[in-house]
Amino acid sequence: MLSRGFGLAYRMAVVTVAGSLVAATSVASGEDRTMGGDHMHHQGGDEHAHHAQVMKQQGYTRTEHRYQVPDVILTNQDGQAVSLRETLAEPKPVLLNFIFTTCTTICPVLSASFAQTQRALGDEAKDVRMISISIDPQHDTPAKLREYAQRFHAGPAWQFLTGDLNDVVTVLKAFDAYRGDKMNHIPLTMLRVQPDGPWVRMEGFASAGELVEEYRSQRAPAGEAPGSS
Amino acid sequence: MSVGYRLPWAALSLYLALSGGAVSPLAQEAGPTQGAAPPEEISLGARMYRAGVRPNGEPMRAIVAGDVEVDGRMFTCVNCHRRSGLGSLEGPVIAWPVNGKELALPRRRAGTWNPAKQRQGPGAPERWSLPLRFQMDDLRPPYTDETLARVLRTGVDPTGRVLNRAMPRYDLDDSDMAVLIRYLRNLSTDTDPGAGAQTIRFATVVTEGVPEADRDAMLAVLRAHIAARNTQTRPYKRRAKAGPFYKTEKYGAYRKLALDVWELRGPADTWRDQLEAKYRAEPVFALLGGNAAGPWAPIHAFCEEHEIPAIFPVTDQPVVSDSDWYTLYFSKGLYQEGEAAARFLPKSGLLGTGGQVLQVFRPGTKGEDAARGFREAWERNGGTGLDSRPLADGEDLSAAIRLAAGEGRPAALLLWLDGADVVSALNGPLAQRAGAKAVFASWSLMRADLGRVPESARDLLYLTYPNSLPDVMEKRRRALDGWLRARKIPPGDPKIQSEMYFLGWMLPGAISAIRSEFYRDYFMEAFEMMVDQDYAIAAYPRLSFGPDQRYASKGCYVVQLSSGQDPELRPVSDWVIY
Repeated sequence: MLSRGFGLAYRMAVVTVAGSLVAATSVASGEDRTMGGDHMHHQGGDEHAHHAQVMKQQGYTRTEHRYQVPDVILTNQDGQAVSLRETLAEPKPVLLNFIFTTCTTICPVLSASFAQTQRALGDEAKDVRMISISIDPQHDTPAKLREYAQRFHAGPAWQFLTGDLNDVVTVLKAFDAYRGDKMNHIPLTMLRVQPDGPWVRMEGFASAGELVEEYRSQRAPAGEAPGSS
Repeated sequence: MSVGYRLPWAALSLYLALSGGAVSPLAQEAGPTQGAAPPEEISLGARMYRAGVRPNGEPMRAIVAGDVEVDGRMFTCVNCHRRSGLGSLEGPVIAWPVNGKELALPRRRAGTWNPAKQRQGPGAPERWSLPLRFQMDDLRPPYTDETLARVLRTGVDPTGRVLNRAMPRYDLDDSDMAVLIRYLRNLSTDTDPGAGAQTIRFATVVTEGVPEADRDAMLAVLRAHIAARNTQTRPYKRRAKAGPFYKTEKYGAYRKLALDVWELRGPADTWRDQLEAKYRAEPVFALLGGNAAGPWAPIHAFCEEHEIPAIFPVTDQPVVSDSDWYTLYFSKGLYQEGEAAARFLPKSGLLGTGGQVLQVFRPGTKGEDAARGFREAWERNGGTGLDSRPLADGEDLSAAIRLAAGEGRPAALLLWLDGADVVSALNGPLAQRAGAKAVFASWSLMRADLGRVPESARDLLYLTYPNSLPDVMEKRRRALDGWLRARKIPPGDPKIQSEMYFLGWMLPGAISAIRSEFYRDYFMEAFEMMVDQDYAIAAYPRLSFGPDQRYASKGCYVVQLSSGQDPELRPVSDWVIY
């Protein structure tokens, strides 16, 4: 009797646990089908709900923020010192992401996305600065960044930055992109069209088409239809 | 599609209750790509998987993130799914396992704790599982060749689920697809040698010519770590039998560790045969630590060829390579010191404009590694005006320096030589400075002679120093010293003990990270995924890891000496120089 009683209690516990697992996963997989599966691992509560509407159309969540750019000196792929604050103060549109050269899953996609955006912008590409900041700066020397830039056919307007680990952490924190360990980082692309304008924060994998569209719609003066500039 | 993959919970429970057991058809369909493949086809598949190159030599093409065209030269399967095929986890993005074993099994809904139905029955884990009728239906059925081809081309899995945008949709014709699928079917299917049902066997290599004190210092620390870990054997075995069901895999994966010592005798060119013989006699899963008199290259080559991981050998003469995979080193050793000097020099202002650089070394010594590191880093960064001069056997150092000073009047002299040579050069031809604004040397090569550096030359001399600064090391060693005392291990070479302590500290994490997937490639990948460390290591300020990174220490100071018999080291650079 004892073993039978235990067995039942055990089964029930299992069925309950298993049942909730099924319920949870079927919701997730339902969303996957409608939204391209991009957020199957986003498990945040409110934030998730807040952006659900946006995500139905796009492979990323889009928010706008104003960030205080820290005054740090980083090093670019040519070994030159670059003041991040000064370079971001220049009156040119800027696309920014965080990568590292040995990254597995996220960075190659973000970098390929920048590469294609560059192509899609055509002549305009020279006016849109792209900045990729290494989050593994001790490994990513300027030489490693140059090699990486070549791999993704980076044009002259695309700059790669590395630097002191503490400085990079400061930058990551300023852009709310610090996740402790480099293997915990998130797919993130930032766009700012006017130097005094807000940063458009795109979390997830924005396609090149979406990046270009985002850029054009920001660029278009008020009243003009997005994409017509 | 089999019944039940999409059934909502209520319907499923009803179905379970009425049918008295939901068993979806799981008969494994044998596709044409199953079974062993000819080696040449496997190597074509490996080239697709690892290099993104199609059998015809062209790059593989794919679409990622909706509309982004990529080719295999940017990235390919191996970037995310890794060499083992066991996948990776990066932030919110999961690259699922794609190895042969995993593709042939259904994915269980509730995760890995519940062995797949095929893993039950005879020969299955000792622990009992739920009766089949109470098990959840699977998340996806085993992949067939058709469903694999479909998911690779369209990103839609056998249940209709659309994969994350980060998964490329590959444009492959049928014949290329078959080659790739055949490769995946054969990737990480059987447990690697050295990992048994009860024990994982490791070895540590010690060669003739290694001082006995260094050998003992290394072995004592390694053995103490392994003994400490093995004390857990009984509790883990008990938990594996009687622990909660959802920890079955975790506890069942526990293995005792064994450490063999592979002593190599005679000259380095005979080591390879000895290694082969020892490996044949008793295969090991991986090498831990190890110490060789001279370059580590012969052992490196053995490991590379047999695909055996070697974790943290004690050496300052590693193989420096961007593509070799199976040896994880603490640093690039002397090579890294040379690199540090090459990065420091242009930024130091010591060269002026157009200043010439002369480096001197004796061929076949450690100094040659430093010279190579300097030259390669110098050239990579577009440096010019470098003259690398190997000293011929018996060639007089002073004469060589005088000659060079007369010819090019180098602004910087790099003496990758031992202490006696450097001191004699500073006392001899360089006493009048001969136009040189800086002399560089390696702390590692001349550490015993620092007190003999003439006071008048100390402002001229810059040393590459590849460790934590002495005061930091001293503080951090206290934790290690306590650990050694508690285990009655006599103090030995502090760097060796610190390095082996760190290895022992990291090892259990890597072993538990591979769960019961005892593949050597996955074991290497476990180290790659480790969080950067600055705690359990006294010898380096910080060690960091990452996919395909094989040299954990990324820095090297440049220091100058204070005055006195026992000079202090004064850093004039950061740990990492850009």
